[in-house]
Order: sequence, then structure tokens, then C-alpha cells
Amino acid sequence: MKANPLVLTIGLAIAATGIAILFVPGTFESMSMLSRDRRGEAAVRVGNQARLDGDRDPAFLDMLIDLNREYGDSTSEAAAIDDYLAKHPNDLGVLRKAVAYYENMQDNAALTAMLERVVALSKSPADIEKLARIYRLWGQFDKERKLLLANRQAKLSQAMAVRLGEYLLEDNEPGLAIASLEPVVDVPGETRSDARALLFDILVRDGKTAQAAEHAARWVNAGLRPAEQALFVLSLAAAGDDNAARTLASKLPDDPAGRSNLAWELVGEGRLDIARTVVNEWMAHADPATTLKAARLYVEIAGSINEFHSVYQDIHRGLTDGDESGVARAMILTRLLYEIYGYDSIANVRPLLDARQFALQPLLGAALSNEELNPSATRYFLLSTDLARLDPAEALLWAGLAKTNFKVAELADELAARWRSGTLAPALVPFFRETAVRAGMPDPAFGDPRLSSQIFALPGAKGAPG
Amino acid sequence: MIFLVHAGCAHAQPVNRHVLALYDSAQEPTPKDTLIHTFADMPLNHMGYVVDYHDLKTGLPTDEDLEGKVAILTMFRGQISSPSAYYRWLARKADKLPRMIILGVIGGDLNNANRRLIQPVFERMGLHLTGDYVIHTRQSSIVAEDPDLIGFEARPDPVPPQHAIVTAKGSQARIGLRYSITELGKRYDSVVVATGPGGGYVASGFYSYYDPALNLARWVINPFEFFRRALDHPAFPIPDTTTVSGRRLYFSEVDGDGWNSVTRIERYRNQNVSVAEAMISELIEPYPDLPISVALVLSDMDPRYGARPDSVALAKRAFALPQVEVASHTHTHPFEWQFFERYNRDRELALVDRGAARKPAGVFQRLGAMFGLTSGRNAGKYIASNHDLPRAYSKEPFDLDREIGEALRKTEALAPPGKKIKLYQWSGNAQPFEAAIRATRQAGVRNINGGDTRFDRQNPSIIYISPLSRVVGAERQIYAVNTNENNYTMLWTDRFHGFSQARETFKRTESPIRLRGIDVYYHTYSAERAASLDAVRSHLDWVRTQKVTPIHASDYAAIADGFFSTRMEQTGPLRWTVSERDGLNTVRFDDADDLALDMEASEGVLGSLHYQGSLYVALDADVATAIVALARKGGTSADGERKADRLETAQLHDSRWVIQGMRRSPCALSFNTTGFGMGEFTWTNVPPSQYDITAKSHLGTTIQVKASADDSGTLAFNLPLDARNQPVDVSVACAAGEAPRS
Repeated sequence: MKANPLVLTIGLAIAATGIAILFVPGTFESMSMLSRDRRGEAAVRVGNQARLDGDRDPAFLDMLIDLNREYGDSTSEAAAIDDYLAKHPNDLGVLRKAVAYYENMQDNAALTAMLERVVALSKSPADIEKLARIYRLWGQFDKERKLLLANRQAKLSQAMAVRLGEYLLEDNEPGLAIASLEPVVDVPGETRSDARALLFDILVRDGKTAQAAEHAARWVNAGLRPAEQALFVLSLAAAGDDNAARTLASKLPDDPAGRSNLAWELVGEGRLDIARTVVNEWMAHADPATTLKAARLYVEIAGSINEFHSVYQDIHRGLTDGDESGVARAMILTRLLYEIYGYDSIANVRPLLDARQFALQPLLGAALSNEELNPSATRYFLLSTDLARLDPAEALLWAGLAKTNFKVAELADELAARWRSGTLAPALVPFFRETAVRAGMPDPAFGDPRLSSQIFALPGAKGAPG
Repeated sequence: MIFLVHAGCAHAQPVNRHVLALYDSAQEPTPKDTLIHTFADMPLNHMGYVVDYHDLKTGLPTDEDLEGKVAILTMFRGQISSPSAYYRWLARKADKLPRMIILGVIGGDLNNANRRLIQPVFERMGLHLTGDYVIHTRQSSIVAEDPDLIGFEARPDPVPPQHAIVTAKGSQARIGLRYSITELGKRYDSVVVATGPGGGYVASGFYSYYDPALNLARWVINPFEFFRRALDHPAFPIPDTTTVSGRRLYFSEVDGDGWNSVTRIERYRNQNVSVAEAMISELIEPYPDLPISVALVLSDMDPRYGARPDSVALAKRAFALPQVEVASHTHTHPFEWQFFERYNRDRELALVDRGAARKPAGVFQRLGAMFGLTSGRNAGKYIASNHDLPRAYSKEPFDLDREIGEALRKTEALAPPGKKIKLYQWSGNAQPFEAAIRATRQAGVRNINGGDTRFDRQNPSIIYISPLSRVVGAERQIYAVNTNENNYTMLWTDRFHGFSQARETFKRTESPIRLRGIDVYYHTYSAERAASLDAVRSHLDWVRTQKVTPIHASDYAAIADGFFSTRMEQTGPLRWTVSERDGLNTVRFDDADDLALDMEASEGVLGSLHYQGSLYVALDADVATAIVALARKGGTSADGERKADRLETAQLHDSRWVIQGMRRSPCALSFNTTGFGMGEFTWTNVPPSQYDITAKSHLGTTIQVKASADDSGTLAFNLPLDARNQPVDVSVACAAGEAPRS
């Protein structure tokens, strides 16, 4: 049967229309295509018109928000956001877009309201912190406090944990404050001093000095600044727990400067007694050179506050207890007192000193004997001194005493013998050469390969430097 | 309340308005990097003070450095390089020092010896530096707070920061904020904000609140009130950089970046219309009543660098417009000016080669594209398309004369004959080195840009209003008044409508205190997209609704330069000479509700108005040394207190055009005037009567207008003439047969 042309035409038209409808892009597709073709302005115009015409499809609105943000205007962007959230108020993605929108607008109340909604849904520490900081920046401390208190359980950053801790302390909730701080204060390499200080302060105020001291000891091991350590030590002492204070003080910083600083900090706050703990602990585990440093520190800090009583006590105890290390330490302290403050400063302990003790510090023996006008004792102690280990200051002292207590030839012979046996400190070599020449001997530098690099004019000779 | 500096003085006394700011370049390499520049410079500028910077690393200030300074200001970031030497110097100079203003860190290392040295400084303020330092401040309460001084933008934090303890000594100190603090069982009385006869002090952490995560700060103290007290701020005419002819000043400047790009605005689709053409058609030509400085990047005119066939023609088209001022935005558009201070061509070529090997990325790809360039290797490696290059076009070695001098000469050559280039607008990071600034000055042009002022919710403090200038060696760079669209569009990557938010800055810098004029500052590439174009246009349309005095950007730069050059002498209790003003012709007195201009005793003064509690006085640019005399309202010679009986003492209240060359007689005023848009004039203290106003434009047009002064003595009239580039001579005369009624 032949097809009716009219029916055929109509049928084809209907089919074509159907096909056309199928292929005409909807709004969403139009927007996507235009955007893809870098015609964002056209895309946003299509979208905004569609929104005005009532289109509320969420995917469409979501795209429209982004398009308006980039190509459109703020009013249209806001309208798209509002329309979306009216239907889907808890869509976190769009709520975040709303936050980003208000961050670029001038309505602070709207921004915080939107952030509050985000926080209520996400509970994320980052969102909580952002809102808390904005509250604080705008002086809304009550809101900040409420927010942090309501989110105590969240894994807050250190900064927020400190802030929360401060608010809890104000609310007389030390236990909760401790609970919020403890998780954040022992993060290696990241703990802030204010977090430590706050936790410590709360523990001490809450009577938990032992716990506070434990924390502080851990922090010392992790590299706490001496000033902070000193403050913690003093806090413990002020709270009446001297034992804990001393124990913490005895945990020394790694470096000598740090130890010294710690002791000075304590002395500065009037606690020489605890500073002694620092020094004693230092001396107990140190090599001789470091022990000398520690002892010097002790004597200096005592002198800085004119408080020598404990130094004398230590010397007396060391000299009379019979313990060898105690004697050695006592002699070091005596020597340093004499070096820094003179004979009068050791006059009260001088009667306790005899040849046995001077054997540990023969140079001290020589110096005191010299002052006491006892040349034979002076000579004896000078000869007893191990010349191989003298530092420049000691060498200078020895040389000065030897010059006035020995004949020059005798001295030259002694120095030459020490030199030949390899027991003459480098600091004494110039003195040896000078003495030899004064004694009519040839300059030892000539012909001795050990001194070949030091062939220079003797000090005082014509043309010599200095 | 006006404080009388010299009552009845017979001899002129120079008005000293310089503050010496000490900084340590070991902490803050240049003045621009200092806390003083960020925080204190702008409030002090607003109060009329010039901040002179002195680097302690170069040595302690000499007596010559101290000469004429009203105060020394410090805002150290931390312990300075040689605190003991500094404290010894303070101790030696204690009797000769001007006032000391210490904000924050005192200098560091407050051991006993140093504290003894600096104690006299504190004692002069009525304070005592105890040597104690509190760390645990949780047990603290405020015991004294001055609401005029504290809480300006941010309240003091409930948990005060740790700080050194200072107490009051005697009764001379005026306490701004004091705490009672208990730490380790000891109670401390802690003064953290105070002023006294010797200056002022604010403890570290108390003058502002700063959030490091948000990177935002806000003032806790009111800096204006604090400095007013610390300086015992006397009344003097403050050189004002916000107001011209009694109205808020307005200008606009466009940097030429993007000149050769093709616009993406839908209505220009497929027409290959450049961004420059779109900008001229949509943002400049339709606004003949609004001036704009158009600054070209000269290399954009070079076909080697992507110039289009119409690039030069468009530049000429723009420069031919009467409202357009000719300006330069450099030759090769340096991004990082410091790179070129000690220029090394080999270093630059190494960067060029390295950049060529990489894919362009991010922001600077966009910026590179905005220069009309394609990204990637096709553009030629000498054209910036990524952040690694210190300037946009680097084919030729950098040469300062070429960058400044040749850029100016060849840009001017694109302008109509006789139209001079007036301005150099800095590019990139806008941190030119000294020789570059000097080169612009020697070329006879003003310079501007940098500063990035933005005061709105995102920058919620006057801290983000830049000072007037940046000092570099012996030279001075003038900052733009507002920031441009880059700062609102994530460096031109998103939110292209963002520049519309600049309105907030325009509003906040006007009220409650007029701190700035209006500067609509954008780049040519704003015309790349409809959203950004509409944002700029929205401001231009808004400005048309405002009572402003539009001027060129170079005129603003001349005003700003004038702030620093102006000299004043006080010749009587309320009388000053004001000279060497450069382009500045407005002075201001704050807290002046009870004062009025005494026209009869003044010279070279056009008029005055009260606004926001201040008295603005307009000066005549033709009078090199103006005499500004005030009187208390209710005084016998204060104008405005009795009805005017002659035109001679009429005062300009405000006008849209700039007025100078005023001549006065009992029944006539004459002056010449230039300006943009309708000539709007309002006069006060005019005898109520009818007046004939004749205006002759130098273009040949003459109009005559009649206007009447009402019973309040206000005379207002408009002049519909073109006064943009040629002055108009105006005379105001009593109408024939009319004698002024008193």
C-alpha cells in the first residue's frame, strides 16, 4: 500500500521534532558546553535566566554557583547558594562554597553564621579553629569560649587546646583542662611553650606536682629551654615541693651553656640552693675540664649574690668526709675561690689544707705557699705540678711563680728535662725558650724538629711582635 | 580641643612635625619591612607627621639626626643587635632626647645594668621598669582602662600576653590600661599602656592583636589618641592629602597590562576585539567627566612582543581623549624590581633558559597571557609566562634609562602634540630601588603605585591602609591610594567580579574619619571579562553620584609629595604661614568644632568647611606662602558669626573643580578653575543678593549665569563648561543695580 504523503510528512515532522528535542541541550548541558568553550559569560547568563525561570535542580544550581563565582556577579552567586541551601540545608559542599562566598563579601555576621553551620555538621578541628579564630579576631570571646567548650572532644590543634585550657581554668575545671592539654603537649618537635606552661601551671595549681614534674622531665629530655626549665623548677618550689624542684633541676640540659643558663636563672630568682643541685649534678658526671667549668659557675653565681655559705659548706664537707671525689671537688672550689676572690676568701678553710690535699692541686699549693712566704714549699709544689696539662692561664701562673722562686739555670734545666721527656705543655714552651736563653743556653727552637715551625724572635727581642 | 603652642608669640616658630623612627635592619631589612611602616606611619601621616627612618645598624642617631624631631619612635620586632650600646646612648642623651614612644619590645636584654640605663626614659613618662617579667597571666584582672584609648578595633584578650612589668611612678603617667596579675604567688601591678610628659609606652602584645593563622591584625589601642597624647599633639595645619576644594578627591589610574589580549566579553565574540579597545570603549570614552591616567607598557607596542596592528592606534586614541592623562607603566614591566638594582644579565638569561624548559603554571601564566602572549615555548623564551622571570620582556638587557627615560619619551610621542606625560606607574611588586625613583624625578614626572590599601572585612583594620609613601634611600615613592583588582580576584585567577568589593574600602576610608581619597585603580585586563569590567564600571557610576573633586593621578602624587615638603611657621596663637606645598592645597585642623577660618586675617586662602569635626581650609595654589588664621567661634573676627556684608570675605565651601588665582573685591570675586564634569561651586559667607557669574573658557566659550545667595549666605551655581584641559576664568559680581544686603 502506498503511503499517504501527508501522513508521511506529518510523521516525519513529528519524528524530527522528537529527535530535535532529544538533541537540544538542556540548561545544564548548555552551561557545560558554553563553559567548556570558554564562554563562561554566556553560560552564566543562561543559568541565571533558568534560575529565574524556576529551575532548582541541585546539580544545576551547584554549577551555577561556580559559574557566577568566576564569571558572574556576587548577587547571582548568593541567589544560587540560597536556592540550593533552601532545599538542601545540610549539604556540606555547598555550605563550604557559601563560606568561601562570604569570606569575600563584607557581611561578617553572615560569614560566622555559615561557618557555624559548617562546624555543626563537620565537627572538623580545622573548621572549629577557623571559626574560633574569627570569633576571637572580632572580640566575640564568649562565642569563642562556647565553641571550644562544646568541641572539647575534637582533636584540636595545640593553639586551640591552649585556648580551651585557659577557658576551662577560668571556669575552675582543671581536670578538663588537663585532659584537653595532655594529648597535645608531648608531640615531638611541635609542642609550644605556652601549651607546656599552661599544662604545668594547671597541674601545680591542682596539687599534682609529681605529675607536673614528670611532664617537665620528659620535656627536658626532648630539649626544653633552660629558662622554661628554671620556671618549672621554681613553680614546683613555690608550690612547696622542693624535692620535685631539685629532681627536675638535676635533669641537666645537654649543653654546658644551657646548664649554666639554668643555674643562673635559678639564682636570679633567689634559689641558690636549687642552683647548687644543678651544679652538683653537673660536676658528678663530668670530665675534669667540665667539672672545672661547673665549679667556676657555682662559685660565680654564689659570688653574684654574695652568698658563699653553701660554697664553704661544700668545701668543708668535702675536705672532712674522707671521700676522694669529695676532696677533689673541695680542692677545685677552693682553688676557684682563691683565683676569683683572693687569699682572704679561703682564709677560713686554709687550716684544713695540707700536703695530701695540695697533691691534687699543687699549683694552688704553690700559690698559697708563695703568699705565705714559704719558698721551699713553693718550690716543692711547683716541681710537683704536672706541667704537661697546664692551660695558658695556669702556665702563666706557674711561670710567674717559678721565675721568682728558682735560679734561672736551675729553672732552665728543669724545663729542659720536662721538654725532653715530653711533659711540657705547649703554653710553657715560650717561657722555656726565654728561660734557656737567659741562662746562657742556646734557644731550644734551633735544631729541635718539634719546634722547627716556631723559629721566631723571642718576645722582647728586637723586631719581635708584641 | 586646640592646644596653644605659643600664645602671643612675636616671632615665627617653625612647626616641627618629624618623628624619628628607629629600626634594626638585622631584623627588618628596609623601612618598608618595619612594624612602624605597617602600623604607625599612616596614623602619624594623618596627624600631619613625617616619619624619618634611622637604621641602628648604621650607628646610633647623631645630634643632627635628632635636630627638629618631636619624638623618637620604636617598635622593634625582637632584641636589637646591640641593646647595651643603645641603652647607653639613651642614658647619655636622656636630657636632650625628644619624647620617646615605645611600642612593644623595648630593645632586648633587660639585665640590671641595661635597665638602669633606660630607666630615665621611663621615669620621664611617669613609669618604672621593674625588671620582672610575667609569663603566667591567667590570674589577672584589668584594674584601670581608658575607653578612649583601649578597644579601638579589638578588645584586650581575656588572657593577657606575657610581658615585662612596668609600674606607675608618681602621678605623671596617664594610664591607658593596667592589670593586677598574680604569678607564682606574687602579685604584680602592671601598666601596659600609658602616656606621660616624656612620651608613651605600650607593652609587647598590647597595642594590637595578631592572629598568625589568619595573618590578620587589629589595633587594640586607638593609635590616633595614643599618639596625640604621647606627642602632646599641638594644633597646626595638617597638610591634607584627601581633600581638594573642600571635597574628597578622586582619581583613577590604569596599568596597561593585557593591552594586546583579546577580550572574552560575550558581546565582542568573534570580533577579535582587544582588551584595550574594550576598555577604552566601555570604561573611558563613556566617562568624559572622570579623569583617568592610562599607563602603557611600552613593549606592548612592539610587534616582537605580541603587539597587534591596532595596539599603537588604540594608545593614541586613548591619549587623545581630554580626560586621559598620559602615563608610563614601564618599558619591559619588571615584576621584581630588586633584581634590577644590581643587574646581572647572565643571571637573567639563566632564568630565561630555565623558564623555557618548564611548563608555565598558575598565576603568572595568566599574567603572561594577559600581556597578549601565548603560554609555553611558542611565545619565545624572553617573554614571561611563569614566575621565574623577573620581568615580562627580557630580550634586551635591562637598562634603567631605557626602562624609565625611553619609556617616558616614546609613550609621550603617542600623545597629541603638546600633551605631556606626567606620571610613572610602578609595575610588578612596585618596590623600585632608589636609582629608579630618582630617574623618574629627574625626568620631571611623578611616580605612584604600591601600598595595596584595602580596608574591609577581609582586612579589618586601619593597619591595612598604607602610609603615604615608601622611603628608599634619599628618594620617595608615592603609594597608590587604594589597591587594584588583583587583590580581589586571587591574583586574577577567580572571582572576577571581586573588584566590586573595593566599594567597602572607599566607604570605610571616608567614614567615620576621612583617611583617604578615592582611587579607582585597575589594569587593562579588567576588560577581558564582563564580570571585571562591570565591577570597574560600577565604581565609575558610583563616583558620579558622589560629591568629589576629580583630579589626575599625577596631581594626587603632587599632593602627596607636598605633604612632605610643606613647611609651616606659627606666627600667632591661631595663625600660621604655610609654604612649599608643591601640589598640596588643603590643610586640616582636627577637633575644630569651635574654630572657624578668619578670612580677614588670612591670605591665599580660598575658603573652609567643617566636616566630621575637622576644619578643612582650601588654599590658593597661586599664593606660594599662605597665611591661615583661625578664630574661635563667637570671636569678633570669625567669619560666619555675623552676616557677611561684602563679597570679599566669601569662602569657598566646596567645588567639583580646582580653583586658584583668586582675586577679591567688595563686590566681585574672580578666579580661574579647571576640572572634570559639571562645574559645581558652593560658597558661604556671601551677602544675600543676586550675582552675575561669567565664565570664559580658554576654548572660547563664554557663559553667563545668575544665582542668588540665600539668607544663610550660601551661594551655589553650576558651570556647564569643558574645563578639563584648559582653565576657565570665572568672575562673580554683584548683579547690576544690586548692593549686597547685610
